[in-house]
Amino acid sequence: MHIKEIELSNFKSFARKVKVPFYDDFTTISGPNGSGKSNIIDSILFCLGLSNSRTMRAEKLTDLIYSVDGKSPGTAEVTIRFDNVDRELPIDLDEITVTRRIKSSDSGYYSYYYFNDKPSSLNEIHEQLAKARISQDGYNVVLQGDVTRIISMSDTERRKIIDEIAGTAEFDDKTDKALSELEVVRERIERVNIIIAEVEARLSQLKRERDQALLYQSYRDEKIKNEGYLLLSELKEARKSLDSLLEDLRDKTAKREAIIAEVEAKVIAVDKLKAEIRALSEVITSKGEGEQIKIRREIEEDRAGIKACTNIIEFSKSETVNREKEKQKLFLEIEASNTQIEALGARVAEEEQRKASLVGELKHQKAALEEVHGKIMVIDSRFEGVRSRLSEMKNALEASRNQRNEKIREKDRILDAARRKQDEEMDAEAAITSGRSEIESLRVEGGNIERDIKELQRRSQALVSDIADMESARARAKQDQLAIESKLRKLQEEYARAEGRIKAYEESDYSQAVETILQARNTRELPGIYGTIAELGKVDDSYSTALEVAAGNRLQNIVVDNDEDASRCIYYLKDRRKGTATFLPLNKMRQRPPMRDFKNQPGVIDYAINLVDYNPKYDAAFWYVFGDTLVVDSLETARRMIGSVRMVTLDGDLVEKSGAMTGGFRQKSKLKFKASEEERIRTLAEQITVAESERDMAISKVESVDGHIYSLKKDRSELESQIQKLSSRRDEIAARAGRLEITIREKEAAIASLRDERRMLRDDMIQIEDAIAKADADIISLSSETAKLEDELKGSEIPKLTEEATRIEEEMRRLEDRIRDIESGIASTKMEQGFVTARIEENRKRLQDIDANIVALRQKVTENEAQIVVHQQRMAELGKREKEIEAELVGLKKQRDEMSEALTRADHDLYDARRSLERVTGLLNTLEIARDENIEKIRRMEATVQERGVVPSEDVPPIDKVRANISLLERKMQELEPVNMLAITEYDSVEARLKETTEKRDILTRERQDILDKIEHYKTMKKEAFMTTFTAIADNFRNIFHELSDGVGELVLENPEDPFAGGLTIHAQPHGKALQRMEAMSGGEKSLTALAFIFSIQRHRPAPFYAFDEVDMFLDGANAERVARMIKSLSSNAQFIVVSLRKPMIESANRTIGIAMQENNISSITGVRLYGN
Amino acid sequence: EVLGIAHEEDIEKSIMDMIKVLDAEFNYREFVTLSELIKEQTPHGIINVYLPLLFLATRKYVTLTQEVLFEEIFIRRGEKLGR
Repeated sequence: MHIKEIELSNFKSFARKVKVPFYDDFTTISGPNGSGKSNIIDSILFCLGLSNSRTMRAEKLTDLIYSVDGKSPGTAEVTIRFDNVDRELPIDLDEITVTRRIKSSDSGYYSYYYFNDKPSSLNEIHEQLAKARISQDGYNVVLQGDVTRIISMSDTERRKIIDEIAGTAEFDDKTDKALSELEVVRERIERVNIIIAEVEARLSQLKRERDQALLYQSYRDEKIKNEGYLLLSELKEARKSLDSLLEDLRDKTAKREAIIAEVEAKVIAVDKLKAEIRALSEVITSKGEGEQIKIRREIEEDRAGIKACTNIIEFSKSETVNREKEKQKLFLEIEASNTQIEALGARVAEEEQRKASLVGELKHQKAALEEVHGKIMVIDSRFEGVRSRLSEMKNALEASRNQRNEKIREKDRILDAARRKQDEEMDAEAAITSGRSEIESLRVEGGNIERDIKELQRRSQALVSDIADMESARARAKQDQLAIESKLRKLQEEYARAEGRIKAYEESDYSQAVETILQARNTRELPGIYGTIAELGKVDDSYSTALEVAAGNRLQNIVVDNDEDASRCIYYLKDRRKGTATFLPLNKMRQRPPMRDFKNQPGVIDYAINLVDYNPKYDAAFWYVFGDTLVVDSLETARRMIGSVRMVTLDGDLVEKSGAMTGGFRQKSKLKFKASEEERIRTLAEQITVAESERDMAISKVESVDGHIYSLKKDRSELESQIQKLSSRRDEIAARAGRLEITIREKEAAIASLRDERRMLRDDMIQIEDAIAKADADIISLSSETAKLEDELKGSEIPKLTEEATRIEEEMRRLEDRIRDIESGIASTKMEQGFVTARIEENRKRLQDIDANIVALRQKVTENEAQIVVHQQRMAELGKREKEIEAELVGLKKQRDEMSEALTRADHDLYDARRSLERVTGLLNTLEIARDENIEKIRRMEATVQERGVVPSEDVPPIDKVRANISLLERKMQELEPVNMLAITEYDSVEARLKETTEKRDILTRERQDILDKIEHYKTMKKEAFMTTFTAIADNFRNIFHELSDGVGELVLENPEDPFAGGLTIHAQPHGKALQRMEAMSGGEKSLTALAFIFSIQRHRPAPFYAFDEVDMFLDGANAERVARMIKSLSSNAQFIVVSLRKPMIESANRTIGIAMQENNISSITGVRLYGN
Repeated sequence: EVLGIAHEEDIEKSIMDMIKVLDAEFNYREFVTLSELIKEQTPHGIINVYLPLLFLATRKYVTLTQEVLFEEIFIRRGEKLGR
């Protein structure tokens, strides 16, 4: 592939549309500076969009549009046509065109790309060009600036050029990805580690608890066994007591029976007495109350009977008078009624006469009518048959027509219904099909969701236990943190106190002389001064009091190197009148003699001098201060040993060898061993530092656990919300499927019933069709018959005759009416006559009744007068009987009272007997309840014994021992309490969790190793890729540099082992010169070297065409020629377009395109061929 | 830089030479063709004539016209050279 033509339009100095042809060889572009020759190269960069990494020679894109005096056509365009006959670009076209156009407008500029005349994006253009090995970093378009850049860039930047060519970025990306994976795994491992630590801690604690629980369990089992023994013996007791209870029960039962017999006998006696009393009472009752009362009642009855008879007699007499008066009145009424009957008989006779004349008239008319009827009958007999047939026919015809219309309407209705049913059926079937398929898909989806939910739940569960572990890890870490913090606080307080003490020391209180000397030492006025004893010795805190007392004022003795230093100091003090001080010159002090060993004496701690820590150099001075003073524990020890040695107690009491004892309450001494405090402060500071870092670690641990908890919880809540969502989706699906099932069933039922209905409709239809056909046939036959009959019926006399008959009939009806009126008049008169006669009859009968009544009344009077006499006789008899009965009753009553007393006595006896029976029965009941309770208790105990697994036959140890055992076991158990019995099972589950978590960690560790291996692998591959490219380019460079400069040059990696850690330098030794670094070379040499580098890259990654812009500017003649030669030789394989003003270059090309600016600001193009043609 | 100056001088000298040649030609005719000016048909010979002409065209001493690229070039008086 090569550039065939560049077409420029308003691009920079090319104001007109210009087409510049190119060939697949070496073309130079030349012309004076400012003629616009470089604009050709710029147009290539512009059109192919290669300008990103290199600046084009224009500030803004709009500056690329040709303009003169600020006027501009507003648009510029460059088209490059590639020859693609060799199909280097895998598109099946001989020519490929790329066009870019820019347009400027008020709101800015717009840039358009076209690939093969189709609008395209820059990325698409780049993708296409990359297939033909044209890329932005490919160095196939090289500007003067690029050459300078290669020289001036840093070694690392230069190395990155190779990186880019080797494509190492790909491995960097992969590595970055792996690193982020690694980070994830690291975090997981950290998390798992926290969990494992937590679970292990829990496990070890649980192990303790479990062991305790197991021990507890064994005690408990033992206790239960012993309790069983206890139970067995209790059982034995219970059985014994049951036996005695049964015995008692038998005794009492016998006694009770005896009492019952006694009671029965007494009951019989009482009953007998009661019966006798009752009999007596009955006699008294019947005698007294019964008969006496009856007699009195009868007397009363008789008195009443007499009074009633008297009343009846009086009433009957007055009634008789009334009846006589009524008889008179009835006689008068009968007389009037007879007169009325006679008048009525005359009226009836008159009416009968009128009726007879009317009947005669009626007879006459009847005869006339019969005559007319006779005539009609004669005529009628001829036509009668025809007429009745005709009217029948007409009726039948009408009926048939109605029938037919009815059936047709019915048929339409049925057809309509059938169509509707069919539609409905089809709809239902379609609904069923779609419902089924939806159910199926819902089922599948439901299954998937179910599986997803299970999986999510499993994960969520796992997270829950992770979270629990994390939280307890956090609690533990927090506890640690608090413990460390409180320790730290204590240390800090102690530090503050120690510091206070040091300060106190510093404010104190050497004598003025000692202060003066120390000051002189510090200002380096006086040499050879080591310091005071207090400064130089370190003591343990616990001995400090004793040692300070032992040393006394000698603590402020000053240790100096030699006697000369000492005397200098003394003169110094004298001069300044600052008092005196004691100096201990090391060169002159007496050495420590061997000392007795007191160590194994009780109460002796050691020689004071041995308890002070100091530089051995000062030994003589310290011997002077402490001598053989012993430190002892107490004053008692000191007293025991008094006189043998100088001693000081820990409290600071002093016992001299002489026996002198000094002591008492001691104020804090102002003179102190400073060194000990300082030592202490140092130690404290160290401890504080350690504690602080521990605290920081604890805090960061808590924080990291918090972070883990947070992310775990977040994960979990995400899972939960997912589960929630899926669950509701699942429910929705289930509900939807259920609804669909119901719908399908309904539709199926509907179809079945629709089919039945359609079948029925079809049957109906057939029947109706038949009926219609039949009706049609009937109508036709009836119509023709009717027509025939109607013709027949025409012309006769009947109408006239009929009219005459009608008139006569009317007259007859009128006559008959009048006769009927007269008859009814007669009848009513006769009826009135009957009524009057009947009344007379009635009155006569009444008269008879009254007579009979009067007779009866008179008889009644007589009867009642006789009855009154009977009553008076009976009353006299009854009064006599009453007096007899009263005498009899008195005797009987007295006898009854005696018998009642006897009964009361018998009742008392019976009551007593019953009471004792009740007592015995109650006792028996109590015994029975006790027996039942005992039996139940025994039963329960037996059950418990069985439950506890105590074999009843087992040898039961003595009960005291059992009780002792139980209380011992209880005590042991109590000592163990509280016991976590759950620990036994919990231990197993925690152990399982530990195993699971450890496995998880193993997996993660393996994963981590895999990722690390992968990263290592990428690193190796990246290096390999780099080295392959580098080696190739370096080889090229060696050859090309030699070719160009006749010298030796090479590319050198600063760090060949790890090329990415260092840069790339170029070592060049042009012919006849010393090896030098690029920075030290001349401009021409630099250009040459940079070109060699560029050529090396190009040779490694050949491109189809090359465009160079004045790369030979700084080369001297010989080198320019060499470069030209090289390009010429390279141009046999690739197209070269080189902008140059150098003759060697121009002359080497196949042709030259000359650019001149003949008009203002407009470049013109001419060209000459140099080789070939 | 030293080389650069030498190079420039080199070009300027050949431009001067070319002006002389053209002045002589334009004394008696309107235009000259490139091939008439080339004495040596080698790349060196061609470039020695062509390059100065490009400079002269830019300086408006001459105008160069070429109907078809890489074919004959016609050289006429430019506005600076006068008539």
